[in-house]
Amino acid sequence: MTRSGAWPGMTAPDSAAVTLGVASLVSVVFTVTDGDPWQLVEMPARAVAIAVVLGVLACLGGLLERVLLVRAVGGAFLLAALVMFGELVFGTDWIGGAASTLSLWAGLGMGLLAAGLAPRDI
Amino acid sequence: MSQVANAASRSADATVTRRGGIAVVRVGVALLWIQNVAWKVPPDFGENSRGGLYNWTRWAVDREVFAPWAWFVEHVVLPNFVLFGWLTLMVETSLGAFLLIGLATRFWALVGFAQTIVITLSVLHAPNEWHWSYFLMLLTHVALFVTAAGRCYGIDGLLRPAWLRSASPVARLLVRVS
Repeated sequence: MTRSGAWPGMTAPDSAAVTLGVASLVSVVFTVTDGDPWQLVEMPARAVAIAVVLGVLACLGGLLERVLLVRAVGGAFLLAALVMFGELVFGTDWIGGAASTLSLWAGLGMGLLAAGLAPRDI
Repeated sequence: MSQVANAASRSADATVTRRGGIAVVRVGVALLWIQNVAWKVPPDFGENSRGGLYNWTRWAVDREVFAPWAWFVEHVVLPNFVLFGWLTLMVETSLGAFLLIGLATRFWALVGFAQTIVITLSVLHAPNEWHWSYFLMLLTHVALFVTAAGRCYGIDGLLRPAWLRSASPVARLLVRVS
């Protein structure tokens, strides 16, 4: 197994998982921003909780080379994105985010699934 | 020998810098779409209040940029506005998501270029708009396409070797769009 990821000593898929986990953790800063130009993603309190928990789990999955954990977190992000989509369709307030939250989590979910499903011999 | 090693090291550093710079641009463009999809708000996308996405779409008619586009907006889009609102929301949500992680990036760069054309034809002559905003959006999507930006610290770069080894039609498609 080659260890040619962006993070030293890690495989590329595990580096990707850690990077996406860090991205989720960084995204919580937008909970303190308000409006243009700095509120890039809508991050109410429940969204922050989701982002922190899943972000930590993604980082752990990459650092500990736990492929199943990375896949599970990817699936969880996609489920969260689906819930956000349901909020937009039905006008409910389960999480309280916006389409920006949906877009971010859909991307993180797809990315983590891809990292979790990537061949380990690349 | 040390000169060769130094040259190789400098070349490797330049490659990391180049690839990192491309990735930064890709993520930045993704954040542009992510931030701006938030104000496309269902269920009516501003149609009842004459605000939001509806207002911005109306500029295509009120401050015409291209007559056929203005006709299309007035006679097709605005009478079916909620449908086009949802289409816009789904396209821009997808642009943000896929460009953020760098998956099928060349395809989504083309989609982003096309969506920017749509936006430009609608709002280029709207009040207080800076035309270079839209020209720069077009140029950055061209850059994402020609650099295959997803191969630089993106999922395309992660999975492309596996796609190249595979004979499946899906893998062959992903090679072309990445």
